[in-house]
Amino acid sequence: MAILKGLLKVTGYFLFISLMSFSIIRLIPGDPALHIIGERGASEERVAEIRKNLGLDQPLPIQFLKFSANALVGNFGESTVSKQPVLSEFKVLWPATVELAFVALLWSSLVGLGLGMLAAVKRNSFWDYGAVSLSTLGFAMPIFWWGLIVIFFFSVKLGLFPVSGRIDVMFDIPYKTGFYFLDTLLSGQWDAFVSACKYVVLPAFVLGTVPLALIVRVSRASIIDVAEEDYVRTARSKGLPYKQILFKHIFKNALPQILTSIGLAMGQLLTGAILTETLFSWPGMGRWIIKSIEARDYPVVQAGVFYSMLIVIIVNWITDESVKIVSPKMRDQQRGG
Amino acid sequence: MAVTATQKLFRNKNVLYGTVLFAFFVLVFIVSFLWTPFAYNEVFDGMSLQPVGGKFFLGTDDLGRDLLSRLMVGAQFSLGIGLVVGGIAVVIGAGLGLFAAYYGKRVDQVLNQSMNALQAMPSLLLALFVVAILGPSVTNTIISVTLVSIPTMFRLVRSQAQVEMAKEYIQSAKALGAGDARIMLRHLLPNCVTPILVQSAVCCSEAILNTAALGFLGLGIPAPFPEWGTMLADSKNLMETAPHLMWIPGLCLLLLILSTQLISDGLRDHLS
Repeated sequence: MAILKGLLKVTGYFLFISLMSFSIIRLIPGDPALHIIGERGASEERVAEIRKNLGLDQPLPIQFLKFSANALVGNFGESTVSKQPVLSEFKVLWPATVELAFVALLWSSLVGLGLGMLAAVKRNSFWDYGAVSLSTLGFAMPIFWWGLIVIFFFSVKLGLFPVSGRIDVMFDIPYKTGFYFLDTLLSGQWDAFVSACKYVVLPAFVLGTVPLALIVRVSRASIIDVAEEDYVRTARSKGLPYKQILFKHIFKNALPQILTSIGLAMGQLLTGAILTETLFSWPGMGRWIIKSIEARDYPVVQAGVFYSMLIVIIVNWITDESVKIVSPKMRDQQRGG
Repeated sequence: MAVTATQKLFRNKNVLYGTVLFAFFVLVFIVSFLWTPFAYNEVFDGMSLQPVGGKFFLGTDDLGRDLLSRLMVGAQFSLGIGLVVGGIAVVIGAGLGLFAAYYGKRVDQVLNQSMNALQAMPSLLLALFVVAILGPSVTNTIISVTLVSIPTMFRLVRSQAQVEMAKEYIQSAKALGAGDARIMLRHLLPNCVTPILVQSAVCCSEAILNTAALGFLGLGIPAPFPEWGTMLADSKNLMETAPHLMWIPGLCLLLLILSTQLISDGLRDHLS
């Protein structure tokens, strides 16, 4: 029964996101075929041919079914700019975004959790005010400006890190997984690995800023919340060492909320990735989508809608599941309800 | 002396600082319609990339246009769009939220599901796709940024209104024969003012940020209008020779967003 329910849910999600990405090309005023050809104009036959290639000559429900069936196997047609299958472009680009987002999430979660805990434990101290102001500022910061400032100091003034691309052009990395951290090590090029690390520092630093602000704020607030519970007072009054209370009683109970905030931060990473990748010329999904919108490359735009929604749904699901793992309360609620 | 509600509100430091900062931008916004040092698109030959100070108070850009004038006119877009979007989000988002909570059942389901659909995509991406469909322009920027900000407003107002719906005074109003519109506007709405106020400030700051982000990506308000995000994008290649082109517009943007966030944070603390 549970499996059937899950299957139904997945099918529903799939139909929904394919409907959204299917609609986008049809919402554009005018004939998409004419948009693809551009303003220069073309012969009647050429327009008819493109319409046929896009399947626009068939009734809408049939078009949608065909589109969904193709989307299921990842077939979004050819990019009108590069003439490559959209899927093969995507295969190379998505590991770049995941690699960047992973590094950004890793540092922002660790630092954010640390700062949030410190602020909550030393409430109303210098550390607390510092962490709270930092988080307020981080929320308000337009990350594209923050990126410019970071480039200005660390690259233009100090010359410490490169700002454009994923790795030095002198390295030739054989494609295995698409993740440069893995590929460089798998092919045994230590220098290339170091170079990849250097290139990821600045964009990941910038991308992690807004998530950092969020994680600091939520972890501070939830730890303070839990610290006021009765069982914490009991634990203190029976004389347990504070470290033990902090990690065994407080932190464990604050974790579900913190994990949820990290999940939210992952959603923000996707938005941030568009801006950060554009700023640092990082060859990932974000820049791919922007470029395709600029070039009116609709098959790529469709795939972009599809994949980004897919990622959001998967991230939400992972967050929910991991909250259930750490919090028995949530698990039981679901089972009982 | 009795302390008025306003005085109490401004004892909250966040609200105070936020309002002062915001008032400054409103002042610039109003003045920009009446007076700017130069025309925002007037090109001064041989005066490109002038530093801060001198004839041009904040220097000039790469084409020799006065930065201060451009910033002031840029405030019309950033602040103007922020206010307009905040306003529309209140009317549409809060309106639909009340509607959904009041009628419940199918109306609620349909509205709630469609808002879920809008939120299934990261906000900037949704705004980008709307611009991709409609093409970049001032109106389309407003449309896309508004669309993004409606769902959160809807959700907050809906959940607050649902709580209120279960209370007795609504029942009494119904029993007295009050009409749907009267109950929604005279009874439900006043009790949902807190989330609406707080969230409209949040919508405003998100709208300012998203407008600038669209501009930075080259898909916002088209040239020759001076929009802060677009100005920042242009400054990237000039940061060595003319860093003021990067520092000043970015600082304006940060302070404007910060002011609206301080107001919303402070309001939330104060009202809850």
